[in-house]
Amino acid sequence: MNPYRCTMKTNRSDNRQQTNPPRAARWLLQRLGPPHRHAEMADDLDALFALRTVRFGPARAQRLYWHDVLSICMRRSLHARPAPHTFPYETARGPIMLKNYFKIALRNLRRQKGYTFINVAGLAVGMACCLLIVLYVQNELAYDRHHDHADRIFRLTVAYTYEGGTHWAPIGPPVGPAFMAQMPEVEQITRIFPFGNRAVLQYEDRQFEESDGVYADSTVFEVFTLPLLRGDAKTALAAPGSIVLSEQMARKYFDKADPMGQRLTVTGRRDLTVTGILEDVPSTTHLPFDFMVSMQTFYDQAGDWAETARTWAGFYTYVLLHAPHQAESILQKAPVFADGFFEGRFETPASEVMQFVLQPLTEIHLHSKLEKEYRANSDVLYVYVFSAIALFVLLIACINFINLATARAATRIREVGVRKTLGAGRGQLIKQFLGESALMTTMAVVLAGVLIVLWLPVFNHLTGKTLILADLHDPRLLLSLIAMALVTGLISGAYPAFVISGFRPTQALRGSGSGKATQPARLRKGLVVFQFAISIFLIIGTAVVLNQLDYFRTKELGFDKARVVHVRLGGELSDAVENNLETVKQEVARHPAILNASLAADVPGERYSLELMSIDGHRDDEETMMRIAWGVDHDYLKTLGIELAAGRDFSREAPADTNAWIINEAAVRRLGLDDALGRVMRWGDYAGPIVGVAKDFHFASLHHEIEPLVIPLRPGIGGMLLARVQGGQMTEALSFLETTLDRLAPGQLFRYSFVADDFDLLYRDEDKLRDVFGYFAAIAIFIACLGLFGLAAFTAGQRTKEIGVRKVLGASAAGIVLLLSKEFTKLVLVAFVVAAPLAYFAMDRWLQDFAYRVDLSWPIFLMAGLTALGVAWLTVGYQSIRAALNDPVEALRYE
Amino acid sequence: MKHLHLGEFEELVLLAVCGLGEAAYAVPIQQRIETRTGRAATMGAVYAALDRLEQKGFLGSRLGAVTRQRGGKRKRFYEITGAGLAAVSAMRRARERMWEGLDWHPSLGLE
Repeated sequence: MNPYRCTMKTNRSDNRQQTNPPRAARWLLQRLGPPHRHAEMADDLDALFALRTVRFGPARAQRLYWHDVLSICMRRSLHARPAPHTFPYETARGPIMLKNYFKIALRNLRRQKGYTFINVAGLAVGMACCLLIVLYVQNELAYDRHHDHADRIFRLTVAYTYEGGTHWAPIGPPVGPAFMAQMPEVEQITRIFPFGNRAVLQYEDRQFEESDGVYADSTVFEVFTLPLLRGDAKTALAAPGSIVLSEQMARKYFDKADPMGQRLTVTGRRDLTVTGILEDVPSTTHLPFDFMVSMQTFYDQAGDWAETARTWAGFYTYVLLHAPHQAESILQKAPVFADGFFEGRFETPASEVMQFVLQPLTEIHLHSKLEKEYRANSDVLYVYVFSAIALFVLLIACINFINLATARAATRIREVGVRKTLGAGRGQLIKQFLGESALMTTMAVVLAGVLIVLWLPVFNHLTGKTLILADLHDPRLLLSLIAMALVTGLISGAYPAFVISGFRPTQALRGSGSGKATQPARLRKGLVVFQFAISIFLIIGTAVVLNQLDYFRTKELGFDKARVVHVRLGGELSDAVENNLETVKQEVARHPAILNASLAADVPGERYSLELMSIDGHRDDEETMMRIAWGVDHDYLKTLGIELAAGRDFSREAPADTNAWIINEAAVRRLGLDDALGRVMRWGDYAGPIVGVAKDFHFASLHHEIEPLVIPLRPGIGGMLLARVQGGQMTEALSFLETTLDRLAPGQLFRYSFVADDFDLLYRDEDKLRDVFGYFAAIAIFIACLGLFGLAAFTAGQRTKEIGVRKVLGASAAGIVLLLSKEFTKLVLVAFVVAAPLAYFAMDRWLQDFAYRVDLSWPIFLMAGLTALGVAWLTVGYQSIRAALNDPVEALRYE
Repeated sequence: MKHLHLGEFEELVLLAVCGLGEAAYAVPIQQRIETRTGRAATMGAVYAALDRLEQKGFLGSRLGAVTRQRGGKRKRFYEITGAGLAAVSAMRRARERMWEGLDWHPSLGLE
């Protein structure tokens, strides 16, 4: 009836000696097979092996044996042990139990509102910070990448290779076209020249000051991607006197009217015809502009001079290559081109004193720091630093979250015990804990979203960017955020889920079993030290920057910064004032609120240009680079309140003063003159005697030493009217100036600013740094407190019984608060010891950048340490006082 | 316990149990499937299918008598239940209805 049994019998006796089932497979089955069934299965497999040996031979039988063993071991369903008895709770899966989990989770979160809030907020702050920084970094990396040919566009620059030589961003006007003519790799070039700072444009009664305009070659549309909304890219910038406006600017001047073909007036200069409307240039460019004027317009004004200015650093020149890699081969040919092009300009062949450098367009924003950049560029260092901060903040926030969550979970051991006694399986408990932490992380993600929306304006102010939420549309970013929340939730839920749910009910109900927690405690302490060290570092940093800024703003500059106002003249106003200089000045100075008035081209706080000077018969007429204050009249020094160290001021009584100089003490030192007065100084064709030596005053920012400065007398060509005002009468003085000037040239913009404000602007970078430091210090302290709070909660929980015993034995509440606080005080002190030297070195290094700086004084360090300590005590105080005030009966009851 | 689906492999196992009668335990079940269908069936799959069928109530099992061949260990013998019988016959009827009107023709792609 049953053939199998017979075969099996014969097989066993015949083949036992020859082949046996593989021993390793058998062992594997024993170890990994279902414990309650593997013996039975092993017998079945043996029988099968015997059958197969006969039919297929031993090799295949062995292979199939392995196959079967693996198929058994890997099938999870075979491992399930039949439940010996089942409680109704365990079978009550589905919505009832889910609802219960949810209810318990919400109840837990609500019962510990403070803890929930702190923990969720901590994680949310971390995530929000991180995302904001990601936005920032994304924005920084996006610069100039919107051009279609971005990878083929390079900026042609010139670096002078002799010692102390400068690497200039702009180059001479004729260089670009000549370069293109000789290099077949160049597909096209385009040149940009700033239209001039603070030009005033006018259409009918609308006039505005514009600082973001350029002259551009008509090829600008071929090299860059600048979509025109109106007009033809081929002809828009061809004719002289044509102007292309950005959309925004067109709206500003013409509102809804059609701007095409309309005429805009550059006050005092000429009319421009609108030939195109440009899509607004994205903010992510190193070359922002609101309007472009045809290059021919520039040449009409400059004449032949521009075509011969081979070494003038004036035009930003961009080349479009046929292929990106050609940059190298071009640079190899560049020295030959330079020798030919600059022939006769230098004493040696040009390639020995200078070289051409091609900068990839997309690297200019983050990597280029040349002389005379179009705008000050950013630095790739910021990208690195910010990315590191983002990662750090996020990591610490996550770790804190995990710490706090596990510390809390330890208090729920009893709940676990009760659940287990009522029949909850381990799997259910694991799910419950994981679910709860997932709920919290989800809340954190939502809160992080809210925080980002709230903080974005602040952050934009801080970084000077216009970031919008839409920049976050990258799905990868959102996905990684969600993944991050999930991972944090899983990890923070994992400790309670797997460790606590593993306790046996009796153990759990007795409340013991948390003895293993010393290791995490040490980790927590380390983290607290680390976080406080960062906080202290940032507090010190903020304080030092604040001190230095205060010093910048209050230091005596050597002239009357606070009371000088200057009015920018332009167009007709300029002509009106220049033609009646003396009368205007007298009229202005007659007003009781105004002490002096002067007309000049340069005021302190703005950049004075560098020129080459020489003294006749001194050091072989060697030329020296010095700053020059241009267009100065007789009243300049008086109006600014600059004092003289020797000699005299310019005088109307001395007709010989028409070519006279006043130089500062630094210039005297630079020139090495013993008898500066009376020597003849020469600047190109302009030569005259030095009549006075001014005391050094800070005409530029306090970052640098006072440079040598020369002041030639050149009345009547300045663009600015300076007035020194009687203290407290600024308003009257301003309204008087406005009416007076309006009478001279009606309908012109009244543009004024205070020298003190101009100087403030010089410290924008430091202002920004102060803000960044300040905000990050606040966030770091917040996060550090979270860490500390977690640790305090944890230790207080751990030591409940100890505290109970101490109180029973007569310890006072104050004594116990002290006992608990002592430990944290120690941690903060360790953090201080770590952070203070680091902060000292870092800030000392930072201060080295300034020629005029404050000293690093110990009160700053003391203040930072005490702040950190105070914050720590406040954080821990609540926990310790609560622990100290607890009724010892409560603490000891469960033993 | 309304929709008790009968998987394809489960059906084979169930039919093997029917065919083996008294002698239906894991080894002959596997052998019968292998020889009759010509496809390899791992023991893991067989065990799992037997477990599932028993859970669904299509199979019943009893432990056999102690025999000498297996060193005193007992085999688990299976037999089909009423529900199991109903399930296979329902499956067979369903198959037959599906086949009605189909010719054995090469163009249909049926052997």
